[in-house]
Amino acid sequence: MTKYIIRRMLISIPVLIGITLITFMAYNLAPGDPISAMIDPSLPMSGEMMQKLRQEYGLDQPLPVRYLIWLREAVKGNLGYSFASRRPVGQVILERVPATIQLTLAALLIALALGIPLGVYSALHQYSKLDYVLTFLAFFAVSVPAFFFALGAIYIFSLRLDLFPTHGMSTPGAEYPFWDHIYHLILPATVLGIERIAGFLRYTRSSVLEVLGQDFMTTARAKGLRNKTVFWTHGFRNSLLTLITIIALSIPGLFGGAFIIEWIFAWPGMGQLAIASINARDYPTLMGTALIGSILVLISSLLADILYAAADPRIRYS
Amino acid sequence: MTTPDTSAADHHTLEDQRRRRAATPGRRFLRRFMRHRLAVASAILLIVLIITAIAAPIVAPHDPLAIDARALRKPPTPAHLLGTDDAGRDMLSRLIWGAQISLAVGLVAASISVTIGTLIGLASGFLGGKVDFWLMRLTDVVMTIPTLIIIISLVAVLGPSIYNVMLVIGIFGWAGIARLVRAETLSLRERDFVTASRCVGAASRRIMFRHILPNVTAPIIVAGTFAIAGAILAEASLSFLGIGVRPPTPTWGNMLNRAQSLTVLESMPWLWLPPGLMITLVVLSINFLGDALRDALDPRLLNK
Amino acid sequence: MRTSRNRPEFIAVSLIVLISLLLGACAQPAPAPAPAAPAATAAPAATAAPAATKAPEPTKAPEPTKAPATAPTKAPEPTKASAAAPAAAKQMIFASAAMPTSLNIFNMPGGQWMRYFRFAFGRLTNLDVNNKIVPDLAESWTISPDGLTYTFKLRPGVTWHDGQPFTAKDVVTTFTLHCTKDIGSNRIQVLKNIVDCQDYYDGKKTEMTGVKAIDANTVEIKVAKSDAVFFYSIPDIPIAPDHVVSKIKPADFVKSDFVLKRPYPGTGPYIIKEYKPDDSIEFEANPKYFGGAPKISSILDKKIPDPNTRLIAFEKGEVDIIDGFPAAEYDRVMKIPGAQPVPALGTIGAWWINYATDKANKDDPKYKAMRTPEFRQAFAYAIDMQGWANISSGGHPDMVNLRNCYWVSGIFGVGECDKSLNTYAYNEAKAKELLKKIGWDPKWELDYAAHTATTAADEAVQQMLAKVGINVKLRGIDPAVYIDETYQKGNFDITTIGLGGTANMIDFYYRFRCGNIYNKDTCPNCYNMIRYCNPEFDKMVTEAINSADPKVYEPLMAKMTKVWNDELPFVINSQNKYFRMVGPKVDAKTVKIGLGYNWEDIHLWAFK
Repeated sequence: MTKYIIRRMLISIPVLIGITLITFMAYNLAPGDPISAMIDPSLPMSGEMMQKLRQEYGLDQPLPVRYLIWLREAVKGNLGYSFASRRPVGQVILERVPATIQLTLAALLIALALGIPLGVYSALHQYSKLDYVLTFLAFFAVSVPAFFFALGAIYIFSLRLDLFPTHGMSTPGAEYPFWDHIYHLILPATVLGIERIAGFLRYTRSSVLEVLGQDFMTTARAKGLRNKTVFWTHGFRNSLLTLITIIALSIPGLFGGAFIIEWIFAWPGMGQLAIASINARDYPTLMGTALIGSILVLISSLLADILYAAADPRIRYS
Repeated sequence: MTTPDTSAADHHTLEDQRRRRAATPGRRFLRRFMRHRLAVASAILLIVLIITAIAAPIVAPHDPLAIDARALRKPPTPAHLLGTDDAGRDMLSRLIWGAQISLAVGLVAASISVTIGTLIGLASGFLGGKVDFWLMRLTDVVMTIPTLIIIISLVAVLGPSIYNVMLVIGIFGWAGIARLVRAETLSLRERDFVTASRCVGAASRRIMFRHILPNVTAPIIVAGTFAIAGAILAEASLSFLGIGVRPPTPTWGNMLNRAQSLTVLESMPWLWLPPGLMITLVVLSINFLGDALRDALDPRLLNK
Repeated sequence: MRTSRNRPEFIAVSLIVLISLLLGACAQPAPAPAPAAPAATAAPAATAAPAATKAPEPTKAPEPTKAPATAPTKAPEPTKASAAAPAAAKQMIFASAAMPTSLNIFNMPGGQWMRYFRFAFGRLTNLDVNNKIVPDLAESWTISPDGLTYTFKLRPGVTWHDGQPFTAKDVVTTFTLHCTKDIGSNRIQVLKNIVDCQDYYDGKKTEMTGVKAIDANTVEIKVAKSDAVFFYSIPDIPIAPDHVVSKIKPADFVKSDFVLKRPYPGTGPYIIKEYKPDDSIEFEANPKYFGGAPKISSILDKKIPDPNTRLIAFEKGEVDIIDGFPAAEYDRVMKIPGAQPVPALGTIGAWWINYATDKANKDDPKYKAMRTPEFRQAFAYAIDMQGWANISSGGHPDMVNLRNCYWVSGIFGVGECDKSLNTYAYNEAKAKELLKKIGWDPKWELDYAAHTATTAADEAVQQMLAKVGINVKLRGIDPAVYIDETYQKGNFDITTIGLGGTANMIDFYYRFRCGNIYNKDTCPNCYNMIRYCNPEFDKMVTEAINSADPKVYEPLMAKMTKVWNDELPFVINSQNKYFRMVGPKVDAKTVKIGLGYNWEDIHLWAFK
């Protein structure tokens, strides 16, 4: 298993390099002087200091050298200073990461909690009316643009029915901050999770159907075990493995979707910061968000892969 | 020598044969396709929509760009069937013209993705070896990158314009297609007709394009269909955020941008429901279509 | 049968749920601050202490009065400590779109954040709503006849929040530090007129004789040149405590606690209790304030960046005052029960038309035509301002204060337009006539560049201009390159951006001398971006700025304004009007945030 993990990590390296290359390229394409982001705004700036900075960040050097210098700085944690808030970009982004992770995790959990049981039910009652309805809904869920769905959800559940708060992460002066927090989390997480539900549902359905038809199932039934028992103890475990892969594959989409959902719900995470930076033309922060976001996705995919390796006996014992 | 048997049984057989007609692949496809009624409805809807979009200059009642400073955000009236937006422009006309832009962006972006993906998949699958290895690593990178994040960053930086949007969406959407094409190419590579071509001395490129590519078209078409849906959604998201196609050019996405205001959301549904519903309808139709196409074109189900 | 086999999955899922809940718990917002102890009510003070000028925000031009000569002496009424308030004191909560990331008393960007320094710190003099200089920490002052010496008599008995007495030394230290290079003051441009300041800044002198403490309560400031602008910048200089600030090395100042953690002590009505950079700032009342103990015992200003969230917090009563709301929410906001809208005025917007006097092709017929007053007047006549206001406010013209005149007791003033000036009311026919007179060719295309991005209002303007035959192409310029494109390179024909950034009107006019064009290396403080050049105008403004006598500069200003009303180097469109919303718990009569005011007299604000 260790070999598998190491191999997976090695494959992640070109991905990481690719991400940094794209981010760096994008950063240089942005209008304005790239140096202006590296200036600590609290220090008084003079002509000679600008010159020194230009040399330090290699603005007069060819592009590949600039890339390496930028990379070196990024590894040190220096991603420049935000134009808007005049603070170090790394610091600003890091503050937002927990909120995004909460939202993404919650969405994933909701999607799993709803998608899998519904998929199982759908498979066990194939061709029933509910099955058709669910399949149709699944199609619908992937066709609706996420932001439209979010707006509709706010309209119905927050504005008309007044069930959930429309924006933000907390109410100033709330009595029970923890539950207030969860209360604010429900709507955005559900909206974000809806699209994934469709995927999990359909996958689970087809996987369960496949498993149900297999020989070992017939054998188990022949042995006299109940259908349900057979299904949960033998069949489902096999589906679970590939489910982990499906989860891993949905992580990039989840993160990307979180950006839009955070913006609409004013959930103060990385995504909201990124979109706000776009509006404020705060390029250093935007690039930093892209970089850190991508790295987070990479890490989660890696974790998912490791989880898969741990779960699959074939890999565990190879 | 036997003369054609014109007994009743034979006659019946001949007639039957004629009635059944030649079961060409095209006809078989159509028959299976027709069985998906939803897909048929979707196809009709899409055709109607495309015609409307192309005929936008004729169909739209007003100039979608004409500002009327006195009639901002008015609810639907006979003059403006879907009301006006916050610059006094006619919503219905913008919706129709928006169809043109949104569909066009979707098509072009998807074409870019399909082209790149097919080329990479073919090369990777057929040539194998080092080429395969590095191309697949590249595909890995593009697949693992959270595309929406990168697309947002790139478009924001390059500047919101319709061409940037098409380009950026296109060059990040090919990973799945490449994988698909590669898999198909790999399996086709071992087939006899390919070996025969090689024996005859045909160049790799010729084999790839003249022999393998035509056989891969089916899954490409299916994947392309879904790519169009994805591209339309991507463009809508970008325009909604304000970094895709910018006003005054109408697209369904940027018409929805207004809904970020609580007032509009709560009390002016004519500003945001129509474009959102249109996007949903179009993407839904394309998804049904793609699903049906996949079933209809799937060689494994040939004998059903 | 399910239990043993499915336990690993169950455990994994439970762990994930627990972790996310933990993360949720960890990222809790800070709990609401506990209510402060009851404060003693005090009699209202008689001194007015209104708006201080903010550097980037334009301020009002000098009023035609004898203000500079002598100041009316006003002693504060003695504070009467009466019985302690019976009810538990409430905290007033403001919600702002942003929060400063540091509070540097020597380098505070203007705008809303100067208000924190007004709450907590005093200055020698203040500017009231009528643009008059009124006493603050200085209770009286005299200016020598030659305009070169200002003598301020300080108010006796003022103490810092920590109990130390306020003396002339604090004033001397403050001005000296402003003239210290390492401090990085943003007022240095104005203050370098003080004798020895420039030399001290450059390190050529070790002492500044320009600011001297005559005795513990008197300060003398000497300037090198008589300058009308200087005196009006004094309200912008909050006085820092010598006993704290002189202990910090100037080079370390920007990283010191005084900047990043808590600027303390001050002399103002409120004490900064806690400051969280980029998040919130909390004040508590200073019972010993010389103007009388504040009525509200505690103030919190927190950052809620999303305008919708801010609005909803206000609707729910979680926040007492918000500083504006998006125009699109106008209908909703005005219907909030108990909410009191208070109109306020902000920056002035204008269309700047390039004279292009330094362009290579400046003698092209198009540019020649653009330079004529007829073209500019046609431009102004062609625009339906009412329609423009309607669109730029999203259908709520109430939110736009149309200003198309240049003189209101100054370009930056509040009030009525000078009736003798031409307002160029919408008149398509007149526009066409003027264009015909100069032979304008409708095939000429003008480059219309907006700051950041073009809006629906810009498109409306494009369509309005097209109707009279002016063909305009829209373009948005990214803020990162705006200065380079417009100021440095002059790459525009028309641009839209607000006016601002000067101390007063004379200073503003002074910018537009011939050749005073921005260059990032040779002239970073030159702002004549439209490349305007009128030698007559130059002569007038140079004369005006070198005189401290209103009898000299006021008639000159009037003449210059008439010239610009005819020539229209830029066409003013509106003075940004927005509504600050005051919640039902607050006594709106006491909060000075309306037209002309800017969070002044904070010690007088009260709940109902």
